[in-house]
Amino acid sequence: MARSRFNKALSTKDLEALLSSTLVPVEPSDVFINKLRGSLVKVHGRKPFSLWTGLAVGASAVLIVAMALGILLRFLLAGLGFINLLIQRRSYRKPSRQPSEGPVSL
Amino acid sequence: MMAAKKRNDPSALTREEEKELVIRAATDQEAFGELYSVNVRKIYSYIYYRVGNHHNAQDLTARVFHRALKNIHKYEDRGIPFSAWLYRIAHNLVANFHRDQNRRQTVSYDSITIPGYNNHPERETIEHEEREILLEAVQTLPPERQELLILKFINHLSNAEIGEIMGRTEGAVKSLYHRTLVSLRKEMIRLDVNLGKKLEDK
Repeated sequence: MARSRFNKALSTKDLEALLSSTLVPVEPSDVFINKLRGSLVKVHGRKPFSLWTGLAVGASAVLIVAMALGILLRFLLAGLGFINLLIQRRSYRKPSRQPSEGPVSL
Repeated sequence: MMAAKKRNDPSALTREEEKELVIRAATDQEAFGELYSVNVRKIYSYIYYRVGNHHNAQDLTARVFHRALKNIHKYEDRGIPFSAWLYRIAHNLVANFHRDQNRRQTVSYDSITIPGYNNHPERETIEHEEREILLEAVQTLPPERQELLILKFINHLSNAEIGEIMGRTEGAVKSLYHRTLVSLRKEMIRLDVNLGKKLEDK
């Protein structure tokens, strides 16, 4: 057998001792550890919105939109009313307008 | 020796403490955070030796704990440590990683600092060389034998715990371990002989 320092010298006990001293734990960085912990707790533990908060925000949004639509509708109606007023004024001012015939006397 | 190492670890939980934390973790994220703090370094070390670099080790470690958190409510206590469940998740993710990478699971442990002694430089050189040969020999082993050595010597798990992770009986793990040591010794002799020949040629 070819010469090697391990032929006779390396018993099971020696090999296990060498393995223990060679295979050592590798430490992750503290930055990584803290960042991962933060992501675990943040994603699953401290939600920015709960279900009830979401519902309240949604309902408020609907109300605000409805209010906005209501106001918009009022402006629209006011605008239409104004336009109608202008049209009516113009029709009263027309010179070709025939006076209305009164009742016919017999 | 390994049990003593476990007891001396200040971050280690007693079995009862761990059981209580696991039950609470299903609804309390802070409890899961404690389990995370106790186990993250062990899982990271295991994954690092399986993939060989910090970048992938970080990615896979994160995936392990996110998956664990997602499925903690399904966890059943079967009388083995909670960490064995985490190791099992890590084992599966690493296997998927290697399959997706489509390459044999040989990794280079270039960034590992081999510990040495400062008192006797000559002895340090010899022991450093022996450790390098050992690491090289470990890398030639099949993946499951490498995993066995990692779980035994880095994570200090018992044969029963290792069996749970690797899907084998305790007896099968013991048998595999002895065959692994035999293979390792043969490989170290071969590498040492080759090294001697290279030096003679010079």
